[in-house]
Amino acid sequence: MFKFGKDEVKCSGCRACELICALHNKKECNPKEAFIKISGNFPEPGGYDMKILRGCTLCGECIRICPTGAVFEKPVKEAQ
Amino acid sequence: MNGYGGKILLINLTNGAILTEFLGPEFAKQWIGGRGFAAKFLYDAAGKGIDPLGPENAVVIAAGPLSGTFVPAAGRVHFAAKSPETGGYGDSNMGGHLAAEMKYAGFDAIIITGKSQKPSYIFIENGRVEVRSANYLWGRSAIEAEKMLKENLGDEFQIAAIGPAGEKCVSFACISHDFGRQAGRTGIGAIFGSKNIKAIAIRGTKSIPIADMDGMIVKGKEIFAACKNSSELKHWQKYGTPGVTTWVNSAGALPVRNFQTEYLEEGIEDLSAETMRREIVIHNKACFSCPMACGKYSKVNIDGLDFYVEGPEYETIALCGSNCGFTDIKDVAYANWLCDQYGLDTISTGGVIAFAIECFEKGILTKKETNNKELRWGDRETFRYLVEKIIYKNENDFLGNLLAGGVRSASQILGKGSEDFAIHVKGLELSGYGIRHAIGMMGSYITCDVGGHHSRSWAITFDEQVGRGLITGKAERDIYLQHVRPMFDMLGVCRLQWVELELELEHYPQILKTITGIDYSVDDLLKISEKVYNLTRAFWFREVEGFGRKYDTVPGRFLKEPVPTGPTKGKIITEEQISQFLSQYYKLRGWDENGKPTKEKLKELDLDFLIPDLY
Ligand code: SF4
Ligand code: SF4
Repeated sequence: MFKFGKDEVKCSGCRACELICALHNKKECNPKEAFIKISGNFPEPGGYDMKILRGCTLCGECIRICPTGAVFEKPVKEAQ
Repeated sequence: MNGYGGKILLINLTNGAILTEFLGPEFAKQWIGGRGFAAKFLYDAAGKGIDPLGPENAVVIAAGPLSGTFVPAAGRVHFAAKSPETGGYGDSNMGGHLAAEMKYAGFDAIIITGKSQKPSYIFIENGRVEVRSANYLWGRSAIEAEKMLKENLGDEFQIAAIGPAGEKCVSFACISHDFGRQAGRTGIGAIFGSKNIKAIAIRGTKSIPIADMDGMIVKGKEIFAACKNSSELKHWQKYGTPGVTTWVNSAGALPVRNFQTEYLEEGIEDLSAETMRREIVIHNKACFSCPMACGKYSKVNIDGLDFYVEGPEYETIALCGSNCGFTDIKDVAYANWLCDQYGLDTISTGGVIAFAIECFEKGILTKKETNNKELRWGDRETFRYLVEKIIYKNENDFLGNLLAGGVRSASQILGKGSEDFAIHVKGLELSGYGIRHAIGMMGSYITCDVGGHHSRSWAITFDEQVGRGLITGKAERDIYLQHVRPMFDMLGVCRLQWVELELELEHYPQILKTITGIDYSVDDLLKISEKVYNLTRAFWFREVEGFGRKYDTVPGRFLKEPVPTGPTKGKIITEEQISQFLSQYYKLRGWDENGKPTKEKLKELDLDFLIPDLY
């Protein structure tokens, strides 16, 4: 078991996490089917919000694909 | 059809007809997608001799078979139209999230013809397509229009919009998307404006059919891992394309003050990627599924006001920066912001403004034409003044109308030797590389199928490797690049993972097979890319009276004025070099001495249908 760690400052909004989630968990090639949701705050102030939605299977696929380390695994004992 | 949205959307704005056609498997096999679809649909839809800004022109928007699938950087979309700036084949490739969304809505290409009577935007949600009123958006900046559409329709809609420049049909107006990505080149934004189209809004909830889902996931992960393992990745994430700025300068190829020279003696540190990252970048911003995130989101404070802008990227630093005399990254970011708000291509705008300042310097433009304003290098006020002249031009405004046509047309009107320092090829202002000592890069520009742009071939690094003044081998290299780089535009993915992270080309047909079920080799794809290159070349011959070899040339400045400073000091291009290069190039391509594809070549590439148009 793990808990999610999020570092939104690192997130570049690539949505690779959304896509792999939808592919892995639903066999759908469309990021809208994902249990992780990235949304941008543009034009101001910039940056992204990340949300884990109900239904997440804790498969960790998003963590493994993320190229920036914006989603990561936190050991359960450390998580608040 | 595996790998594809499966449908082509045809919108005739004049009579309001909206048709959907199924994508034919044979057609898809022959033209792959993206740039291939765009070029072919455009060739067929825009008949010979049409006015680029007339209702008969078509704008084609096309995604590729990899767009929206599990491949790194699968977010590229291709726009094509007969260019209002060059009068020839025009296209522009854009990142972001639009291509993926088109596929999720079920469309591989959208072909827009005709003209709407009122300001409109095109609404697409899966199969539901409507032309809606854009009265409330007209006159708004490109960024503002996108924001308003997202607020009204929902954040999941992907938007492509024009700013006031497109509405006013400025010949170098761009399409804007994702708050800072653009289809910048060749004036596609003006085509939208001429059709009274402010924007397209798309949302799709379908899944792209995949031939071998597990195979795609395995192969996709392998390519993502190859990106992550590249030693270059971190550098790209940190700096993006501005990472090359100081290198280009040290190579003596940076455009400075309208390409008067190709080296910045002082101030390069203040334009460097390191300064930019430290001083103004606040966030990385990626296109769909891209690990590199070359987009840098910046904030600058100028005279107490905050400006948010994606960029500046390298080409903007070169053209709106050093080429306009700026040596402070904050000034460049501000110039970038202006262009993005108004919906102007930063490359051409930088070229046009530099041209105007030089005209003023030489007394060809005077205070009479500038309302007593002095046009100066490195001056924010000059930049803003000229941009707004171009945007808010009315019929009687000489300067605004003069510049809105680009440097070629402006120099033809002004004369007095200004033709020599109108820095363009085929009417398209040059992007960010000086070429007086770089034969391969010169060849890239003069044979590029949209005019003075580096997207098809970027050979300056090859020039460095093998000897910059050398002619031998350059044509061959340019042709190779002109097939490989546009191959990515056909597939609907970004090429930078290949160029910069050095991914192997073989990955692409391999993953394409898992997605479409069709077996292509790299050579098959390159052959199709060659076919598209011949088709776009034919477009020029069809559209431009007397087209041929004499169009494949450089601005007069590069033939008459040696580089005055820097590592390339004294270098100049000769007619003899151009001639030698072209003869080799045409021969290798199977084109005649005038640069026209021979009948044999056309037959070899299954382009027989072009023969009646060309012969
Ligand atoms: S861990 Fe949750 S959010 Fe991440 S890919 Fe798996 S199901 Fe999706
Ligand atoms: S969390 Fe990682 S994979 Fe997801 S959008 Fe952000 S950077 Fe991309």
